Amino acid sequence: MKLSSGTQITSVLKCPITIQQRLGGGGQGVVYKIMYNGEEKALKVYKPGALHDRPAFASNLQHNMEQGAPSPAFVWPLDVVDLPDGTLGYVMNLIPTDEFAELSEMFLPVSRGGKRFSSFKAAVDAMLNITTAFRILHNRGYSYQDLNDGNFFINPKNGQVLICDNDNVAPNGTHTGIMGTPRFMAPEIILGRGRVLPNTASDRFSLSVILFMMLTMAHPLEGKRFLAPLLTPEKQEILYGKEPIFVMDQQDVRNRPVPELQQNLLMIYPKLPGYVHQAFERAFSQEVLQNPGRRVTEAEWQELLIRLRNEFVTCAHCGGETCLGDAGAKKCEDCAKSLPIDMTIRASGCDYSIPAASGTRLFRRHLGVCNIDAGLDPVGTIKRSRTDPHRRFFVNTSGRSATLLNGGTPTGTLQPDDKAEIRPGMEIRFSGGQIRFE
Amino acid sequence: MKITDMREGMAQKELHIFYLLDTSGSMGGAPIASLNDAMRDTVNAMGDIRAKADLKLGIMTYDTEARWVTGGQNNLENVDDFVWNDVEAGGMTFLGEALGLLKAGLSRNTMMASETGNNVPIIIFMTDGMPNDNWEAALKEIRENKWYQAATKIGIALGESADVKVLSELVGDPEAILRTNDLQQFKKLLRVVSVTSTLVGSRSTVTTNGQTGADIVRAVEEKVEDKDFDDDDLV
Repeated sequence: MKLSSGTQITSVLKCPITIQQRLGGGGQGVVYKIMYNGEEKALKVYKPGALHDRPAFASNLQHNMEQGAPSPAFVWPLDVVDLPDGTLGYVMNLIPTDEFAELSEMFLPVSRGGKRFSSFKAAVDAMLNITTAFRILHNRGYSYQDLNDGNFFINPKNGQVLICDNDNVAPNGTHTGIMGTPRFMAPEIILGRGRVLPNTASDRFSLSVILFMMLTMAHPLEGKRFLAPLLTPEKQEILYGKEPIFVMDQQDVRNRPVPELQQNLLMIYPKLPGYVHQAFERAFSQEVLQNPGRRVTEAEWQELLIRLRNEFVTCAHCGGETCLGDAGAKKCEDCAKSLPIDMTIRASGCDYSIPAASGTRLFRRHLGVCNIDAGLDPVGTIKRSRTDPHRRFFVNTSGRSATLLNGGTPTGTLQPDDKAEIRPGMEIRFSGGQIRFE
Repeated sequence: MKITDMREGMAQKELHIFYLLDTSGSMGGAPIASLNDAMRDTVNAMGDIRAKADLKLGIMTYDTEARWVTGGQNNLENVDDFVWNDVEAGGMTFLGEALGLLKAGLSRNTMMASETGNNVPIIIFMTDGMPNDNWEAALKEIRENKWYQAATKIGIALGESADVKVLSELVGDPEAILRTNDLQQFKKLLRVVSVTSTLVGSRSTVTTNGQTGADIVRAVEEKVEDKDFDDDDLV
């Protein structure tokens, strides 16, 4: 059916749809802006012939719609259009492109329109949001099958994430026809030549690549060997499939970064804490590259990122960020003034201390084991006084009242959104666990 | 440190897309006007796509002689900097000259010089006729060139007099040729084949190997025949 402006159709859920404007076309179909139930939404319509098994695709789409979005990060099918003339499509939310940028834009040079996160903390927040979304998706038994830097829209200010192109999301093990995107495909998919299908384990390889790229602005397998004068398909197969070598591999130095061309990676990587190095070294070790079942899981990345985000401390004087790292830096690496990290937080759910610096956030996971969906539920934030940067406060963002204690004795209640000035010895008890300032 | 100090982008390969465009006398009149329109549209369309490679154009026209119309360093220009200026038709079809000039460019000392290295280059041949010189000797020579061997080569045959056999020899595969007798269709083909071949390495794929010129030609034919395909749909 020709869907020109003003065309009216009815969805599977019997909602009236009015086509407003064509937003763009892709290989598989066309996206329109529509009025749906009085709200502006987007409608993706597939071209006839674009789907290799239409009935199976339509039933998967309908099933996904009925199940609902795994988390609000997914731009998920809200309703389906399935017309007698063969027109098939689905309704989804519009992406606010004034606030969100495609992830691939974050990797371009600034001179060519590249965007940047507002801070490393915001970058880690975005990594955390992506990881959490995929943890929930995989936990539901789905695999995404085509993770790449074109699927994610990111708010560079706060790290909020929207995940698009969910039409290939299917129960783990289903063949949708898509094998993935070059540079993000797992070695076993490349070497399987169509016999090995994308699944949760190959999703995890692609996720590790994306996380590394977001933090370092470099691809984990693209070092010296990537810079060959001509990258033929045969060389690509070696680089990403037959013989992938991590650029920061401790033993094998054949694919090291090239200083003139990979400055970002060489600037940030040495400043990251040892546990981050270890995680990437493991994710891209020969053992894990060759054994899909041993890939680093979303749960492991989530633990690591929750810890890492609070280790980026912003200097109150110059605005530079310092990663505290293994040495536990005490001074701003840009202006050498002391950082406001004289206090740390011990939380009941983790075995490390958390810097009590302005911008530190505590999540439900810090308090102890919890449901997958609740791991990133906020518990509290540290804020500094506007007039005196040395005075810091804990703001209760958990949505519930918490108990203030001193030496185990209750001293008061902290209502939701209320704040308390922090000092060593102060304890706060929440329903799922407690924290102590030291 | 500040994340905003990371001004450089991720290391990207360069992707060179070469055009060898026949501007001999037989292209005079409507065909050359269409070629001028088509190249202008193509350059604009290429500027709009977000290719995940550093895209460079090398455009050559040939008739009784061959010359690069792209200026800049080594006759390569960034898509964003290049403006197509109309060319005129006239003279003979000296394909051998064109191949000789291309061969001189396909070297690490000339047009393929790059810090980050290159993706497999794309070469698009367009002709409406048959060559008048000793092109076979030139083809024999350029076939020895490694860049030429690796390149994704696609031919566009415009009009009934276009020598499809010669194009097949150039691109090495009769299925890697697009044919049309219609000037409107030709404009669309040139634009769509340019954008499609440029994006091949960075899009979701149903295969795990690279794509040949023939694969791209099939994809372009499908798009152009699709009635729902709008002129705005580039990919």
